[in-house]
Amino acid sequence: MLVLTSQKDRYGYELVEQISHKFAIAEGTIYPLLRRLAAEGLFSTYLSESGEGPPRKYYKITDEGRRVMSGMIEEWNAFAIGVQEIIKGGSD
Amino acid sequence: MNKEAYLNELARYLKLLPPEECAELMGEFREHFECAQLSGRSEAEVISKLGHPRLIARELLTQSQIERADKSPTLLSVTRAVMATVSLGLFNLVIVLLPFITSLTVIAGVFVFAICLLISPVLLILQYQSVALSINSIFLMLGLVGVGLLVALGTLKLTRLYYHLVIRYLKYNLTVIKKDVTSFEA
Repeated sequence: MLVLTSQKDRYGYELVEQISHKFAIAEGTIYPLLRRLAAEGLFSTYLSESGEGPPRKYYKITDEGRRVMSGMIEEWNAFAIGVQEIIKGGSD
Repeated sequence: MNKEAYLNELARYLKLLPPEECAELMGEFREHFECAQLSGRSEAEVISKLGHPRLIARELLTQSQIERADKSPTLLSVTRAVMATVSLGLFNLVIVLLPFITSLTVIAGVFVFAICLLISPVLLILQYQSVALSINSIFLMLGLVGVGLLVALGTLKLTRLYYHLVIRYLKYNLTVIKKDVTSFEA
């Protein structure tokens, strides 16, 4: 979610769609997650008119959000490398 | 269930939240339906993908309780946050409620001990039925009351720290358990 919003500001439905394409999760539970990240100060939100339909609530990543994101990416990479090495080691 | 029924049910559950928060969330779900309609998805499909309103509401309410407890940690607010977390999954009975009750009992025990020390002079006087006390017993009492005060103050400080830890654990629990909830739904 942080990575998606770091690319550009996104509205809720867009995020939900992107995430639910990749992971089998109940779409409704993404909104509580968005809300939590916003409450923790990782996102700020604003309303903006769209070409079609009603004004949409956009999520914008904050500096704190970017910090947390890069921390998580590093953590994930280290984890993935560890797993990779164990898999390779196991097939020797 | 159609869109209106779904939103009404969700709104009913979310009434427990502060009104402006409830309105914001309802706006978000309304927006979800409208966007989905624009991209040509049917109401029934959207609803089945969203998951049950009760589930979504439970998560939102739990978050809100934890935030509230974080802002003003009292026994009541922390207990509410714990109970809300327990409602998210049976497993939390074991990994949240049990440790919480156990640790709370220990803290209560220490408090009772401190109170006993504080009122020990009264107890001693009652026991001996006289106010004529030796210098020794007066010093003993002062000592006991002093220790009682220290223990009570220390535990008060400790309790505040303890609430903080509980809230951090609940927040962590929310991120972990969330995966279970969602995969069950899916």
